[in-house]
Amino acid sequence: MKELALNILDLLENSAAARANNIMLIINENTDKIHIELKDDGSGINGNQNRLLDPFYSSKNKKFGLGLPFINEIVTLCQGNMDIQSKPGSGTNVSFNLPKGCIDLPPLGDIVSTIVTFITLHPEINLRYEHLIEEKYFIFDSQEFKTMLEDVPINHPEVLKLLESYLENNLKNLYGGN
Amino acid sequence: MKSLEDLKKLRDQIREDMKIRAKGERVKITIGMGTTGIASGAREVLKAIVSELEIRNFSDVEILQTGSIGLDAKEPLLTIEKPGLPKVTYGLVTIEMAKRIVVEHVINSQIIGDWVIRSS
Repeated sequence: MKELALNILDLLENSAAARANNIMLIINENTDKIHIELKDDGSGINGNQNRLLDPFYSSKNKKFGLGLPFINEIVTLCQGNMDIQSKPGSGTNVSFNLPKGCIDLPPLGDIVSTIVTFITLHPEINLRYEHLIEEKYFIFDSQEFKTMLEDVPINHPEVLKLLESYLENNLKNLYGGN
Repeated sequence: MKSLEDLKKLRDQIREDMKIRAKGERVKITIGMGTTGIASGAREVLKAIVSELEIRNFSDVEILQTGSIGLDAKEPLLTIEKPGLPKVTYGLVTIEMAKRIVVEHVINSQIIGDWVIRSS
């Protein structure tokens, strides 16, 4: 994948496939490292968790992609670390840390497109996204948007356009804009 | 969006719009969002579709995703199901193709035969 944001989209799709109702994505960056964490309340993963990193293993009839093996490859190349906590019935928590100086580390990329794409495809799932950079942070909660929208769907094309510019502006501020 | 007030304004506007417009049958748009689909550009294709729908003010759609369907070499894959037309899958879809598919097929019911890889 060219961007970590695409790996994140792949992991988000895994959570959706595990029938999650709520997903939390946390991105925490500083000058030295990037920490990414994804928690869901989906069906969880059964069995040996090391097998999840095996590209030739799949838990659900080939519907499970290469999301985790790809992340694992970056973690290995960059000497970062990764943790997967999961139990059937109590969701999955995937987190990993990557050093920013690593030459094999893809850029974070277009995280806004990843979030908007996911909401387009899974309006019923509540997605909370927290992005922290040093001491600054931005929090987006799709549930708040949905409450405000009442009967208007969050994935109506016009709402998505507004959502995209809302996220873009907030991220720009987070990265040091005014 | 400057404030949440803008969101409320948009909500009310869309609601009025939905009241006025006769509800047509919805077009089902399915995009391949497995690992291969994502790596091949499905996210950008989907963005182009949503943006074109927004520009054309066409919202009678249902946008869905699917995992790998065994045609990885043809990703990004886009399947369109419009009432009255055969179900059609387009392969190796680019941003430019996606925009034309929205205008010609989704809105104007003209299947773009040259790009179809599967039809049923």
